[in-house]
Amino acid sequence: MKKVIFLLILMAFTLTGCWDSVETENLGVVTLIGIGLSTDNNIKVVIHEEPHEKQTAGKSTNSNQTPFNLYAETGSTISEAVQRMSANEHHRVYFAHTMIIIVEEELVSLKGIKPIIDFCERTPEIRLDTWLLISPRGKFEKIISTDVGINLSTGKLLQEIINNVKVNPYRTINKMSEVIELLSKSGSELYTSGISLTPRSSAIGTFGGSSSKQKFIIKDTAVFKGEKMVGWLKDEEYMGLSWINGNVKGGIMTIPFEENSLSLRIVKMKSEIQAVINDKKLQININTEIISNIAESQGKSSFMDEATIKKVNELQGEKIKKEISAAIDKARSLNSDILGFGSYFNLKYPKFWKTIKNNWYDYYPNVEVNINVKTIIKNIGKDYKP
Amino acid sequence: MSSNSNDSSTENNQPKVSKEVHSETTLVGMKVSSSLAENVEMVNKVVGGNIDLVTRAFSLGRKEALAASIFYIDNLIDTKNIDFNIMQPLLIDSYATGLSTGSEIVAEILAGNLITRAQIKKSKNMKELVDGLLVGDAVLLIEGIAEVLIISSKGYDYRSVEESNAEPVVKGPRDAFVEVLSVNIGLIRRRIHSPNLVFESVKVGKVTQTTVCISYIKGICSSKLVNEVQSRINKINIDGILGSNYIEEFINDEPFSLFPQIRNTERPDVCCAALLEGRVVIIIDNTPVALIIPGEFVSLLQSSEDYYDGYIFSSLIRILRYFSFAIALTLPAFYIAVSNFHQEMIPTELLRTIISSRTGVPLPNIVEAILMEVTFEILIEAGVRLPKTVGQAVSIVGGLVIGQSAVQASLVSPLMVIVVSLTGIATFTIPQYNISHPVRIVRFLLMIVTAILGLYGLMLGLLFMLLHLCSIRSFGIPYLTPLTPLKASDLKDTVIRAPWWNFSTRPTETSQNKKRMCKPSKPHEGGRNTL
Repeated sequence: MKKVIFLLILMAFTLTGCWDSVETENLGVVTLIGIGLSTDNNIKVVIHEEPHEKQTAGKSTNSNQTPFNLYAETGSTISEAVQRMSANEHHRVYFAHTMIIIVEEELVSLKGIKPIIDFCERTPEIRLDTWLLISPRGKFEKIISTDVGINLSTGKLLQEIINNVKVNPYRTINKMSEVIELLSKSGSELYTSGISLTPRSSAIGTFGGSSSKQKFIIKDTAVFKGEKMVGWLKDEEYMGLSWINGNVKGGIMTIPFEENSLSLRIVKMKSEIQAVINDKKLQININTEIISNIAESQGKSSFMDEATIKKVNELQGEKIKKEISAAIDKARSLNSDILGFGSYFNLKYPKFWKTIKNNWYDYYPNVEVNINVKTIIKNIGKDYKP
Repeated sequence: MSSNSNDSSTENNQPKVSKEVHSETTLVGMKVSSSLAENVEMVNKVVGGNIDLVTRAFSLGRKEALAASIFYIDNLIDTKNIDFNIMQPLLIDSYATGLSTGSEIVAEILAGNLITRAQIKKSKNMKELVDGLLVGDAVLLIEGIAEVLIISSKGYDYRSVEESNAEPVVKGPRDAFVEVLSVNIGLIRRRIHSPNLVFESVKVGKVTQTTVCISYIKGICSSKLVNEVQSRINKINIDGILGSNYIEEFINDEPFSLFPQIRNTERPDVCCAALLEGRVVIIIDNTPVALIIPGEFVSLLQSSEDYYDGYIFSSLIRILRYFSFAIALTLPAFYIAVSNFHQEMIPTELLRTIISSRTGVPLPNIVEAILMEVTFEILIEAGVRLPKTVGQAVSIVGGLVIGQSAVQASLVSPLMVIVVSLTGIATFTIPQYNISHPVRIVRFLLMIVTAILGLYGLMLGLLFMLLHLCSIRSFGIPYLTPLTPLKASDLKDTVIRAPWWNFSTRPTETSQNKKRMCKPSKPHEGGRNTL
């Protein structure tokens, strides 16, 4: 018996072997994957790889060096392209540290998102918390190849931007896990943020140095219907979407107030969507509650006065309501239920949902939407006297 | 009379070393006779011919003198004792008290009056004579008396009590054991003034006849444990005992285990604390290291400092110590696992650092790790063995040449140097020297298993180790007591050290009398102090 156990232990070590052992320096750590459409209608895959530089003692990293190495390849599937890329490289392409996937609008409009989702789901290395971004038509090459010159790989930079919710409050971006959920959930459609590259505004003159002439902005929302992308929510429309989702976790919102501008800092918000069937009429109630502080006031009004506060509340509420309805209108005009109204009916009236599931889009444009915005000014700041 | 042959010093007329080999039984068979000449011949036959054997023949009484001989081993006795407590009373003081004939003096000696030395033993047996002679007693043989007087006059040079080297503390007592058993016993006795403190002695070693002292406190230590220790020591059959490990290896429960099951200490205060917990302490002559039985795992990670510092700080330090125990055991293996198998577990920035530090290093991670660890072990061994005067050379070569140059030459990555040195430093926080040995060995095993199987291998290795630790015992006490089997009341002195007023019970496994003698009282119990 002892011999058998000894043999088993010995086998455990000798037969299993180190088949998946990789020395770190042989890894090509991918921080960003770009997936686009090649000229011959194949899939084009671009990756950003962390550069391998030898650490030298006492010497800071060379500023001339690019923060990422870029490799591109095409193939009829993503895996094929990746395979070709690996064959050309001495590193093993390693996806576990991918933070961002940027997809070209042309590809998802034409071929849909399915191949990308499939690839990500079948590749265990790709994490489900990778962010999915859509690059607008014609901008893909530029976005993917730009180094904004702050010695940070684009993947890392975008992740930092996304995580900085205080500065980028309007979030409509989705992780891979959320993307999969939205796609598979009954009564909702997929959406995620777009990315754009803008030159730094020239209004500030020549400040800003030579290093950062351009910057990435995560804005607008790509709207899908089914697997294919159908359009964009722009500006206030995508802001409205993030109000509905309750994703605004901070940031400044400016409203015109008594011929001047008044800035409010969002402290907290919550949003609730209720589906109601009233006399066979489908109805959606959106209740949002926003708590904010007064951040900056250019006017002369005293906020000690309750009437003033009430007015501020009304103005803020109106603006938010306007943004929300803009989002709903646009979503309806694109005929895509990105707000997930269907899923709320599914939650509350599952039996009824089954009957209308297949022709939901006949009902969708006619759903009555009530928007209730409740705004609260919590802190008026120390400078209460005009 | 043949006494003239022994009159002169041993050098002139040295008896030859006899060819005969003497065993215990032959010695017991030899009886002391009433003829001095025969007796002297017999002694010479057994131990004669040694240059350190001193023989002095003299006669007792001015009238009717009786011949006498005194034997002792030079360097084992205190010459002042011989001169002032034995020779002077016999040869000078006897006349002053009015004794003149030899028989009068002898009668007085036998009555126990004349010789002022306290410890005198009479014997008719050659074995006792020789034994006494060899441990530093003077042996007095008198014509016409068929008995031998064994007069204790031990006195030899020894190292004075000094500060502990291996277990230094900041706030506690500084004294450490020396090589002399009686001094060591004194150091313990000085701390525990209890009639119940027992020092039993056993002679171990067929040739060396080393005194091994089993010490415990009656009424606290469980008698089962004492009996077990005694029986195990009595079973030892060896030529000689030169250090405490000789005994340790003989009485270990699991002789093949890497983990020590007996605690070693050179501090009398640690011994006293152990005695008060109901443990047995074994002190061995000629070694400054005492053994504490049982030595379960938890006690091996304790330092006496823990009890001399405040309980809050001590508890934090203990937690730190367990943490560094874990680091010392697993850090290189964990690094290998993470950097070779589970790169997804490393934050991207750190992975980037690892990659850039490993770029250009020709060796695989595991080879690099083993290379560095072996180098470190070599440095430790060199540091222990080398003469103190060349110590600096090792630190320069070790720190500068191996550390910095190896990195500069791209032979090893700087990160590996950090991992190895952190591991090394963590090893040194382990207070007991002997528990760091298994750590140093198991570390390598874990590294190898991990290099094959990744984190799974590391877990496997740790699980094997845990299973082993759960299976072994120290003198019948589970090695991981009180963690498993769980003894809730004993947890107060494990990973944390509870305040002293909480120590109302003794460790369950070792002690017979669970309650401490007096009920500890909290500060301010029964009303606040008036000041």
